[in-house]
Amino acid sequence: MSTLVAHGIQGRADLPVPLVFFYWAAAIVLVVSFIGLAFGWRRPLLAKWHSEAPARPARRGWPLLIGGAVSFALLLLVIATALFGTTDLNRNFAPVAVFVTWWIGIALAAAFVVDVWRALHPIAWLARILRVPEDRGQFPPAAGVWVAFAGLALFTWLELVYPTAANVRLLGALVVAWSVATFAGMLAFGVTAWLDRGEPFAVYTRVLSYMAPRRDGRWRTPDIGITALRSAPGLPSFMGLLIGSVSYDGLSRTLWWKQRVGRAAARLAERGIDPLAAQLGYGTLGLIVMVALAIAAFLGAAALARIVGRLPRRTRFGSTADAFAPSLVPIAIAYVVAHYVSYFWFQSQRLVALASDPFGRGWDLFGTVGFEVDYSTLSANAIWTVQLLALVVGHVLGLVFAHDRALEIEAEEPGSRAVRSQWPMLGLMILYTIAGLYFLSEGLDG
Amino acid sequence: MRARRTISTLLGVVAAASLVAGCGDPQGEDDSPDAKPRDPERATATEETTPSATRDEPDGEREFEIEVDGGEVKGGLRALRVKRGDAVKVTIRSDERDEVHLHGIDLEAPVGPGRPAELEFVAKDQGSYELELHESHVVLGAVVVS
Repeated sequence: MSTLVAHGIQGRADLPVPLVFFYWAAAIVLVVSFIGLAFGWRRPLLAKWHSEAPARPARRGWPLLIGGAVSFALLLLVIATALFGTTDLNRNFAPVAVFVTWWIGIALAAAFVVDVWRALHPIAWLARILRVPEDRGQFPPAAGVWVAFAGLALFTWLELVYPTAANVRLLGALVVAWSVATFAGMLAFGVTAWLDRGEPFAVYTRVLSYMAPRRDGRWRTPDIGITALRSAPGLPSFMGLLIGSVSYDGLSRTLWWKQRVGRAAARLAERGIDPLAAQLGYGTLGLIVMVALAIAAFLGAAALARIVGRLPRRTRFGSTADAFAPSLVPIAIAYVVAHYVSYFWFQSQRLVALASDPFGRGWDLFGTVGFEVDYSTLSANAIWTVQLLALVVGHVLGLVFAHDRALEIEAEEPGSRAVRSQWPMLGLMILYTIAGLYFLSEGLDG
Repeated sequence: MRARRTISTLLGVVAAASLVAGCGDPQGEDDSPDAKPRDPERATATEETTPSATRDEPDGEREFEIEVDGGEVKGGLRALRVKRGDAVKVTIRSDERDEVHLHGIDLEAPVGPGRPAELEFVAKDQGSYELELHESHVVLGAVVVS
């Protein structure tokens, strides 16, 4: 029963949010935004709340050592099952483990608890055991996070456009390639240096973890004042990639999109073009366009913010886009939650059965092979509530951070009208949030 | 300062109110005025009925027909709306040989000229399930179970 699927593991998708709920949520977003503008506080607050305790140096105690070993063992299991197990994607451990539990899990963990991926990175564990240094000091600063951007962009294409999950052997080969490339990067530049700038998923989780309760070895309040994302070349584009790729995912699930692509592919099929190739082409185009739009919107809003706020090109926080990048983090997190939390909840349960028979050979190691996912554990109403709440709360937090950051800039640049710079950013966030809500709704689903 | 506050708040309230009032559908999904009246024993939905017709009884029967011509779905892609517990039958006709697959519910049937595919199942779990032709990767629509 292997099927050609995009979007990781496809099967059941969420019910689209009823239009009436979309309108109410969008209305709340607007009201809150304008009230925030009207009654926002006058002095930067978040920097004051920021915990003064410095980051604790990472202790490589035995819990992390064991955790890293488990993580590495799981990596080997994924590779082994993908390369040697059944090619039936529904009975192999690897696709669910990679595209559901790991990919969504590391994001949710980093956003809400602690950056688990960074702490238990399997290749970093291996490299440190082999005494690879933490930082050779050779990573060119001008490269910023562009390497991570490229790697993550490639991953989103493999996840959302190309039916990688259906091709288990390909998945295995890709995981091996990633492992080798990551090890090489760590060897060349240092473990921490590579995690900070080069490893796409480590950069991804680090960006999401700025509001997590446990950071830098301490329990912290979710502020992003002084501890904000430090500016780096490519950071604004990275944020745009996060938002744009999830937007494409939402859009590509709608009947509106499938209708158009289907019709276009049918026309191309008349000219002898393979329908799969046509769909891949449109999907690639769609992903590139959505990411480009998200990035362009952010950079455009930042340019407008700079003009309206009469800001210098660079401040203590970097470019204007860098300065406001932290305010997009809650929205990026909200996108992940809204799109993937039910998917994560349901599809991860398949690991219970898959753990007993990871290679699909008919084993039953733990007696759980008959376990079936119970889809009634999360009702459509519950899912909609989580989705709408996530986007609205993410938006509110984004507002708060943008407002506070504008006030911080104002304090640093007395000649400017920095407080005004938040208006274009606010407009951008309203755009992102309402678009995010719309893609999840029945609006495009006919 | 005061003026800006007042204007901002007013703008926000106006924008929100017009959004809700002007475009919102206060009746939600179950308001198709042209839904066919139903015989309580057997409900049939064909291409002419609006797909979002209401249901009276919790466990009923729903039938849908889809026709594929030259790689395109006649009438466009639709959401085939049913309720949990409904006995659903989807008949697919295609002018080319292929295999119909209903994702999630995981049903397959061959289809070809003169050989319509029939998928029959009881809608168990809420969600949206894509229906597609396996070989040609044509999406036929989605079964939406609410």
